[in-house]
Amino acid sequence: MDMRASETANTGAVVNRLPAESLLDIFKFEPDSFLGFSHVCRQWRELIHGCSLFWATIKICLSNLELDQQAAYWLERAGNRSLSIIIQSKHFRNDPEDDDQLVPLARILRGHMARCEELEIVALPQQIRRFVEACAGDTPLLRQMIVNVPYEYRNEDPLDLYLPLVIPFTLPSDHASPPCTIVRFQAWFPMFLSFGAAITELDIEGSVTIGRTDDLLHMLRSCPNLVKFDLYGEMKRIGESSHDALVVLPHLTNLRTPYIPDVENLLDYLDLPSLQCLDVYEFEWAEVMVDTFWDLFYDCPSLSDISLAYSIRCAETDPPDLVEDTLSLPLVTHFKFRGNVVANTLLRRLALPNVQELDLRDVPSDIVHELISFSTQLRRASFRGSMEIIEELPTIILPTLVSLEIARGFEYIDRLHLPQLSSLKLSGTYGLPHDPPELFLGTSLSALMGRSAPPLVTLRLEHLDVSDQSLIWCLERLPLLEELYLLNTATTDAVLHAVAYRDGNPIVPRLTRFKFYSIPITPAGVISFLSSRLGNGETPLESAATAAGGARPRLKGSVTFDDFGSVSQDDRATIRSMGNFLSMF
Amino acid sequence: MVNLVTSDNESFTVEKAVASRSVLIKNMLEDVGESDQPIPLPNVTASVLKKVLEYCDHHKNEPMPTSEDLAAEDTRKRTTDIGEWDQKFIQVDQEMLFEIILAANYLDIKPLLDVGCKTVANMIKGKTPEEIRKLFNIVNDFTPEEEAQIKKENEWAEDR
Repeated sequence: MDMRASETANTGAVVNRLPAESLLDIFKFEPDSFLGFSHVCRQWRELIHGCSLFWATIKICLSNLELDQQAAYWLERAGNRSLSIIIQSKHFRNDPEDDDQLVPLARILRGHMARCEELEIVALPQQIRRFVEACAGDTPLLRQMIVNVPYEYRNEDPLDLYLPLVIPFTLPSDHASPPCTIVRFQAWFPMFLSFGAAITELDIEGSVTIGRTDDLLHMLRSCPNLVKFDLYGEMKRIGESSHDALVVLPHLTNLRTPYIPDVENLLDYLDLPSLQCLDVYEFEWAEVMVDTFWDLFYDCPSLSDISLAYSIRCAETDPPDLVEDTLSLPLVTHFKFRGNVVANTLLRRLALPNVQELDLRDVPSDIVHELISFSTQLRRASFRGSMEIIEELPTIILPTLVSLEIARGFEYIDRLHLPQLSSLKLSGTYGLPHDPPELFLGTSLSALMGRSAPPLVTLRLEHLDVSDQSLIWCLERLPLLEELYLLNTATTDAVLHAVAYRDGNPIVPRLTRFKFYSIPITPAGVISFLSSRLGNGETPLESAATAAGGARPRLKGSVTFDDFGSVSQDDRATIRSMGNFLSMF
Repeated sequence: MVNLVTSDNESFTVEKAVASRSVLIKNMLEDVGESDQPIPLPNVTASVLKKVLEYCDHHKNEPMPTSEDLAAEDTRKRTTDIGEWDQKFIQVDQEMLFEIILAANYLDIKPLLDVGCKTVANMIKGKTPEEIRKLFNIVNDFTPEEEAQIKKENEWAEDR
């Protein structure tokens, strides 16, 4: 066979001397443009029309005419390949004529749904409903299904969206392939026939509504092999279930259900023996939630990652009665929690002996203390929000903790012994970006250095007042420090002077990153600091490097002055000449 | 070392590791075993082989594409990104570009073939059929019936 393209009027064109398979290789690098390439010359057209790969993706624009003819044209050339069917449009009209086109299209596609691997449809609710009804049948190869109601039409007919969309796809009775289909719905929720057994990932974004609890349970019951389920509500209540039967999802490992205020109505009816990751946020904490989560944690022995965080509402002002027992969750390694008067009642009764990452917000320090006292694997902790510091707590050692962030309750470090800490971030009350610090760090930082001698690599202080003398004393004890971030602190040039390379004996010799934001330092102080750290100062580079025990590290960072306008043009130019250190923000 | 002889009868002596980037040459070497016999390359001229060997020498220490890599190519969308060195290497005139693709295809050097095809793909990306014809000196040879069908295809592809 002559591998070069067949003899035509264009044989003289150099590109057409390429073998047919090389030309096709070129086209395959830009598959979305194949139709345009087929309009260049007869030789290219014949090649493309003879290659089924290009025609196996059928993109239909709803606003066009002759949709059925187009589909038939593509199908004829796609041969027996698996199909991707994409039906969408940039422009939607609430025009009955569009529906008249969709049904003939569906009739053409119906006979080929058994080899459809991907189906994506973006259309109006009534169009989607009529299309899937007309395509009913076996879809054993379907691996991805996306259904999306255009954003601007989601409020057109909310009643229609409240009714579940029944997906009339089925699996053949002898279907043996393991389930692995991903289904995503936006602004609507589905109900499945036997095809539901193929689904392992289901992602539903409510936007307008996600229906009622009974419907949601019915939907989940039709997907017994789910592994991952995301359900985004729209802060609308789903109501109580009218049935008692639990829905068992034996394979579900990941569950995320944000923006459902009364999410307990769903969670109470789920039996999830394999659940590993739970992420629930934007719901209303009521007393009943304590029982819901207690039961869920108790019944899900595989839980390893729990997040009940972000903005959570709580109308209660008094704590509910305490449950008596403590529930230990030995497999939980990641725990994120936002407290309130009700939620903290639950947290007080939990034990997380093997937690490695802990992120708590608005949790009183006595509960934090109790929780971490028994956590022998804790590596990273973040405590934010209102901590209500309790004075009489004993000091505890956290031998494995390497990273600690405390916002607003920095006094809590007085109760911690952290011999392995490599990253410490402390911040006070957040004010406006250029507000002076309000909270005085006092001796807490230096006391920690004296008590634990932590091998800090990163230190970040923000919106805290710490004296230069105290900070320098701490920095002198941090020979491993590589990153120093000072934001809205009371730090002056004295600290910059202290960390400059001089006299062959620099402190923080490994410093490679810094940020000085809105602190009372001067351009002259910054220039002197940069000059010495970059090796441009009075100390020769060699001697400084020798003193540091190696080459002087490269320096990256930024300086933001409170009043940028007062920095002279000469000073700006000098700083810029040393690198990209000057920032206006 | 391996001795390669081009269609215009020029000899190139290259390291075995360089020549073996070509699956064709690699297989020939395996078939004949240790031998000083020159390997004729009747479909490649000296100027093109010189360029091809420059590519092979630069990439001689990289792993060869596996059969799994090649099998997966048909199913996934491929990127037209080209490495920095390869981009400079392939900055040649159209004639040489297509000769390199032809040589890479004949010598079975898949990564070089990809660089050539990607370069052409990038040249025609986003261009209208008329612009592509102009770029490659291609004549519009469609019949009126074919033009009518093309018009219809364009209507289907538009989102009106």
